Amino acid sequence: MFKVSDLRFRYPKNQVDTIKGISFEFDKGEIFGFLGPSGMGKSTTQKLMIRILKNYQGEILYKGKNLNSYDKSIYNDIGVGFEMPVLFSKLTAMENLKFYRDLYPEGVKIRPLLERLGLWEDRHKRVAAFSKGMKSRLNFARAMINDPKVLFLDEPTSGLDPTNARIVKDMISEFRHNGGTVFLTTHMMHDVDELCDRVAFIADGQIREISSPKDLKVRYGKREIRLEYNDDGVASKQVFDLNSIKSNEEFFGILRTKDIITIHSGETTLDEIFIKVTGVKTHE
Amino acid sequence: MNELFKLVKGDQSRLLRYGITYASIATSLVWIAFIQILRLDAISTYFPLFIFVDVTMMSFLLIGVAMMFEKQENALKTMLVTPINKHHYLASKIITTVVASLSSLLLLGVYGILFKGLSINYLGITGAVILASFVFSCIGVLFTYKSKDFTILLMWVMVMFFGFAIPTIFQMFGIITADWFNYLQYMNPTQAVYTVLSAAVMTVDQGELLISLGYLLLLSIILYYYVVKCFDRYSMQEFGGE
Repeated sequence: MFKVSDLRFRYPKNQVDTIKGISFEFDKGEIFGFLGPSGMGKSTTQKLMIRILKNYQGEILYKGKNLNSYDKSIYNDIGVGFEMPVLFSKLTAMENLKFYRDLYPEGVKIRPLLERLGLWEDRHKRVAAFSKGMKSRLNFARAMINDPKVLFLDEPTSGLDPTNARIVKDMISEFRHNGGTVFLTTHMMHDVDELCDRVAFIADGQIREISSPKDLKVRYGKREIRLEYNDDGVASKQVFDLNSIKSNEEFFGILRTKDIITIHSGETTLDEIFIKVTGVKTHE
Repeated sequence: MNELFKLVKGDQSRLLRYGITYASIATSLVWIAFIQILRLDAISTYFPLFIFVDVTMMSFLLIGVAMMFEKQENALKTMLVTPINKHHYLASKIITTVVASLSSLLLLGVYGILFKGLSINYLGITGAVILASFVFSCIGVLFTYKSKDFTILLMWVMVMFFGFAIPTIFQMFGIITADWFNYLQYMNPTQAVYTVLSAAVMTVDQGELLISLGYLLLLSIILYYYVVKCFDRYSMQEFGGE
């Protein structure tokens, strides 16, 4: 769907490149997570891919054609959900969506979209009166209004309670299952783990790692099993090598004879991988 | 054209919601009250003045305030990722302002014709208002992109008023008559606007009318060119591009 090759970009007033020759691609029907600390080139890459920033070096292909060869009609294919809600605050939710839908040759029905996001009852309220979470959901509806083929989402669950975050994540998954492609930028590693087929970590304008969350967790984790068990009234811990586990009699002996308190594999979390790969903690 | 129509419709509805349309109508009503209070009977002499303020300062202010609201809401970001053409986006803002100026003209014109026996060249005044409002809308857009907030925008409105509108009003009332001042006024777009507006209700020097018309047409082209350039730069800034 998108293929980025040796992409370089420098802001006009900067001395150094913000994007330093990155390459990646993602296919139709894939949710591609693009992760990295703030100010390391994540948003810049997205802005280049949605053609807001120009004058880059390297190549961005969309459906096999150079991105620059497309006219404005490319935005009929693209839905963009910005991190900060960008809506007309004096207009109602309905007026906002109708206005934007009318700017496209085709669009979705507003009612099912708002009903799904729990905003139908508030459709005639002005956006200024919306809570942060409601604005965030409306922002997501705005991104979906043109029935896009590719979604660029920046922190789509930011400011949402767990129930609404679940709805949005389910909608993203359904969008993918219906053939849509998603470029997801977020700091919520749990969302990434749940949604993304593959992820790329960017730091200092360079891609440090690309793979599936599962593969990363295995690769960056330890091949071990940690057992915590009750050893005659005393809590004991023991670590076993996962590679030789099938022939480890001691391990199976403990399982058979002791009361197990916890069992953990050495698989790591995306949070830990984020810190390790980018060198920055996720809350930054 | 359909896209432009939808944008104009959207801009009109937002102007209403922001209360800007009501402010514009209120200004025209203030002029009508002014005429009533001063018991002005022969308003032909003053009519261009009433319209003049509306198409110059009000156009500047209207488009400025509307775009400042949009700026504060970061609405341009979303517009830039839609298939709309930037010329349509800008034209919509300008057309909306021109329509507001034409509405004021209609209100004042109907009042003048019905109650004060105003004789007017309809086509001439309409054309003059469109041209003048276009020029000052473009100036408004340029200064809005230069303004970080409403305070700075209002400061520019004051600069425009005292720097450009007041000298024309002084010349109109014969307060300053020096030759150097009259020559300097040929550079002043508000003077050109006053001349073309006056031509619709009274006899003006044909040479001056042609110079004023030519000047405003030239300004329209130059200013629109810079409006587009400013828009491109501003769009980049909105996304942290500069």
